Amino acid sequence: MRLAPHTAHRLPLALIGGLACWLSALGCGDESDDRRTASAHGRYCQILCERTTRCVPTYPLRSCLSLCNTDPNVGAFNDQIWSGQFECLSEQPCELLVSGVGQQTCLEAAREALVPSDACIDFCLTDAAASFECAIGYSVEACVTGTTCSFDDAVFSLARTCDEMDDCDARAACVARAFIP
Amino acid sequence: MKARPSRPRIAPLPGPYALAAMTLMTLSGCSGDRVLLLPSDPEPPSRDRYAEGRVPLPGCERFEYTHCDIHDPACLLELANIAACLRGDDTAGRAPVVSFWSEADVEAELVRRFDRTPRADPDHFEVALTRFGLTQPDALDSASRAALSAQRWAALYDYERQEIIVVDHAEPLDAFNQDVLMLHELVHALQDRDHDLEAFVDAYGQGSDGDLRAQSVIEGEARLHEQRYLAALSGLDIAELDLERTFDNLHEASENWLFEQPDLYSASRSSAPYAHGAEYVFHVWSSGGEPAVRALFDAPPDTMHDILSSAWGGAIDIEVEAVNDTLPPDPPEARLAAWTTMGAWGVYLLARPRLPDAEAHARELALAWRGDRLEAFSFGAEQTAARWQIQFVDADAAASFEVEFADDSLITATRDGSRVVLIPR
Repeated sequence: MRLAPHTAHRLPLALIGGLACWLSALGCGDESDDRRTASAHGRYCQILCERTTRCVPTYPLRSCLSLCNTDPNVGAFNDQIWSGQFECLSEQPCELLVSGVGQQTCLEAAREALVPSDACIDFCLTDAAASFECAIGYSVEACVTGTTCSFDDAVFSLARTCDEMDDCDARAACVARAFIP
Repeated sequence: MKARPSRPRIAPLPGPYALAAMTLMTLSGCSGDRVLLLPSDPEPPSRDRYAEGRVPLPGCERFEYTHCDIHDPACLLELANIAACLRGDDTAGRAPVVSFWSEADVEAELVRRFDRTPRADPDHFEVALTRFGLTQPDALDSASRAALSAQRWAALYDYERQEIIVVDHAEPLDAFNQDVLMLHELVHALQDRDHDLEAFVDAYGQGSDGDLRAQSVIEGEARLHEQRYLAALSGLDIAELDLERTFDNLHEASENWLFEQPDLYSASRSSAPYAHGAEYVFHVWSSGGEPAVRALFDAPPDTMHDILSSAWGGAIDIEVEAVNDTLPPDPPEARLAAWTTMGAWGVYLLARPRLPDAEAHARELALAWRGDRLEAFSFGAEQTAARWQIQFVDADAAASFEVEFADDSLITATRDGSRVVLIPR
């Protein structure tokens, strides 16, 4: 059974995974890429890594930033998701931050505080309608208030290019591709 | 929903439950071939309505269409009133009793009711269906049917108790789908109040084809209103939805699920009434409103052929030809144990698996049905013989059907004009 978008697309825990990766072995990011340092995500990485390296002094800041900034998932998410975590990350105790629990807490809090964009509401309305006509009903409200609106408007623009597809399976696959970074 | 598979006329089962549980599998999957109609950018009109927080259904604007807890009596009354409004009534009166049963309790109760009618031993009808590849050994016995039903059903309206039973599964439905499920069952309660469903099934649900067409009216109406309610509960404006496309996709998804099942005969009862039946009732409702739907309980469609024609597109006013008991038993000493009319759906159950890449042709063959008689004979030491005579609209259609069995490992087909006789090998 195909899942509706609000259940199919979940926020990745790549950063948590990334940190764990470093702690367990060697760094696993591309150290040359710091393109997002000026963005909300860049600021997020800065706060996260400064806090983390303070908690784990043997973890080089440069490695942490590289790992954070090159996460392939980040571009798919709304800037509010990153900016909404600044304060929370600064307040997380070391043990929670290093274990990943603190990051998850901050991510959830940012998601709950998110104001859905018009593009997301439009996507939810059109996708729920299309899904209804494909014999899969789901709530627009659940879509808008769930994790779907954590994505960037560019993702919704891409997903809306699937609107004209008449075949249900083809359309669902097209929408799913839009949500994969 | 139901707990009673279609049965032959000679040994019909009683109709303890007849009515519907909304089965999850009929909601899954989809395929379709129509153009998607979507609101245009940049300002879909529904966005404003979304901001307002509710999208009322035309004619039933006084309700909120927000989630409620089906364990709460006030929620049940609200849902019952919505169901009544969707059926064209002012109020439901009072909400029916709703109880919550474990799977095990439902299974035990179903066994108890199925066992009211002793099963033939051997069940020559089941053996005949098995030889035609339509069911499996013991699939029609009480324990098998009860176990499968208890697992598969999310809820049922029990017209013997006149109450709705929600089945507590290990993985319960989410709250959203619980509301939709309850609305569906509440429609059954109102149908029973207005039309006496047991009497309806007794009058119109005999034989395999009759059973499916009666269930198609009952489940079709419930599914129609369930879908209307689902749209409102989802926050969608039903005026912007293409319901024709919705019901087309529903029957496509239902067929895709069905033809993956090992027991096509039993599974048909969980699929066709909810999908093809729903599309038929939707067409009746679209052209004549709720009064026309209610009239179906006094004058249901003649056969499943009418329902399938409505769903697939085809001539509805056909002349059905009775296939009588004119052929001698084979072998001559055999005794007729059971017989039934399988209908156009039965032809489809045979044709579609043999035409996996020609679904449209399988549907054409089914719609070329004009009558049939499936017979199960007993002879010797508990042995079974089976024969299925099918009358087609013309010799060309019969020949087109016959040729699909030319190299069949299961069945031999012999044509005489526009009639084909099938015998298991």
